Amino acid sequence: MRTWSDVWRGEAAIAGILAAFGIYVTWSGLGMPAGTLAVPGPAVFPIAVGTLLALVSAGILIGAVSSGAEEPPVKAPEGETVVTVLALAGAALLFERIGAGATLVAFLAVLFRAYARRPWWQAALFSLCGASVAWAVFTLLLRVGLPWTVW
Amino acid sequence: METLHHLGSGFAVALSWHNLFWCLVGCVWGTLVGVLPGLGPLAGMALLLPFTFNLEPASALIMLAGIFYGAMYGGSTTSILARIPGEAASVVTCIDGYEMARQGRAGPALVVSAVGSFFGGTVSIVGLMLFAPILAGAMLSVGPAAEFVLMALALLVVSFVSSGRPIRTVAMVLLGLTVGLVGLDPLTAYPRFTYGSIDLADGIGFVPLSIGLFGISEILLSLDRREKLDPIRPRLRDLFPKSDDLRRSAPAMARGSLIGFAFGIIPGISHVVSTFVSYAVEKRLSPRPEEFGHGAIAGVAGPETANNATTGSSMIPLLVLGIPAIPVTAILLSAMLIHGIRPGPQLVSDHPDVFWGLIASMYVGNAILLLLNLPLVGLFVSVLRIPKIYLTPSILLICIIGVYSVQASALDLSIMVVAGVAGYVLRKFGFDVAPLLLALVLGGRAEISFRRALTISDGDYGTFMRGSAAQVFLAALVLVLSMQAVAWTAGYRRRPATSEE
Repeated sequence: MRTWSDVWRGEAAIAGILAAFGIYVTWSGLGMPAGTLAVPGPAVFPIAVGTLLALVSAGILIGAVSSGAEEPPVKAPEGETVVTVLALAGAALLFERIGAGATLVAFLAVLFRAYARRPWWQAALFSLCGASVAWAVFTLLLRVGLPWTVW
Repeated sequence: METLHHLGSGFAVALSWHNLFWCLVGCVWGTLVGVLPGLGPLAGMALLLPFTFNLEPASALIMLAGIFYGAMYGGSTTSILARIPGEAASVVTCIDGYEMARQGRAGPALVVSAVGSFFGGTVSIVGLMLFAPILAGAMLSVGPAAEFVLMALALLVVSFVSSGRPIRTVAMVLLGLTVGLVGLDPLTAYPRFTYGSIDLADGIGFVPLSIGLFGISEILLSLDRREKLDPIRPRLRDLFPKSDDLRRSAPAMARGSLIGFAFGIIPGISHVVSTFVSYAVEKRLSPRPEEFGHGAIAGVAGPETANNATTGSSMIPLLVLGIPAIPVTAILLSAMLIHGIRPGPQLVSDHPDVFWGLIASMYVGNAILLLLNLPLVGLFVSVLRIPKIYLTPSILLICIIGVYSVQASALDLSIMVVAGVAGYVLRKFGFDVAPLLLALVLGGRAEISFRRALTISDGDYGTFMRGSAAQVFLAALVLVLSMQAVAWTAGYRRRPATSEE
């Protein structure tokens, strides 16, 4: 007997999210100017693409739920993977708020500590060296404009 | 004769000192990117794209193209010496290449791989040189209606011939089209899904999206796999193959070059497919098929040649039609647009220095790579020994700086992270994200062509069926749909027998 834990697999979840996204795009498109048959407006493609996305995703969802196809088990993300994602998200949010310099130092320190499991002072040393090399290469050599500090 | 004259002008552009320098930079970076698992040519090109803004258009494209085919050369090194594909198209080389290395024959495997890559690349460039101008001339008369049908055909082909189940690929194509809707409407400037943000008015950036979907997601997946690299180190004096190796490789190289060239032209078929087809062909034709999987040199020569033979032919749809056949050429398309060059049938006449300079640089680049890869193989292999604790943060740091430098926008960083996580999840559950990127690039043009065609024809939908170009594309579209319908029907009829078993 199939249970919800069997059915609720990744493919079904992804298809459900895509279907919901497609419905949202279609609904948003209905609020845009549609134009005429001779001069189609900006609403045409959102409605068409959103509807198709919702329908195709619903098809994937129904197929995933009803077929019972054997899927190899998907491993949960490793701790390093989760830390990397959080570090990237933090870097994106802080890059302009506290400056590229402080952000990249913190970013490298967090990753070095997560991957190498070394003491924080070693992580700090590595991150300071890494950020300094990055400044030299990108700012001095390649002349890339980065907000290294907030002032 | 005229072609040779144009090629001569192209060499004059490609052999200038600054273009030679950028070609070398592209080839070296491409080889490194190919050697290192986790980046791939797409992310490698996307990372350097912002740094090309201050270059001349020809120099920028020469460098980016160098990364593309350089990665093909580099990817085989890791496959042969460490059994880990440096980039996706080198997967097949792992099978026999690593076995040869274990038998103490890493040198011949590397040499045959490099020579085959050079041969395949050269054949591909000759084909590009001969076919592209002819096709460009034929495409000059294509109007918006025929252009829309062509875009629809390209999207359909991408949906049905890409790897993975077709319905999943169609979903990815539609998702890419949806993401491409963000920004101001191209014809009326009406804001769509911008939520009042000025940054989003220009749409979702191609560079952050591509680096996220391919680069970041690949790094996250490799962290999950917890790969440990311990490559075999060949000695320089052991590099030279025996005459028997070359004799058995030559026919495989010839066949691989044709296979790779043919597959490279078709939009949506990644160069990975050509390598698998080449391997299957070599195994089928070999008088000793039992050797395959145990160090057959043809199993390295054929796929590596096919791999590189796709580089030139995949440029044909891009340069002649403005359609990127694979995501990597979408980066080249972005670079062209940034530099104010519109690829398409008028490229040959409007920017001959760019077109012929790019082709000539590919000859030069292939020669550089052949000379670089063998003597410096030890150096490239040593890059693999850099511990992950230093390498992965460095790559991620380059991704952050590269993405931010495109528009100095923190929103691009957020897009990269979101795309990275989305790409990681999608790929973990077997969804191919390459069609998403292709659809993002093609979708905007398809919409513009569709609406312009209707405006010009005053709302006459029959315009999409008039004109020889539109009719040819429409016939091809119907053919693709019919073939897919037959394939689905055959698959559906087979299913009841399988379930009874």
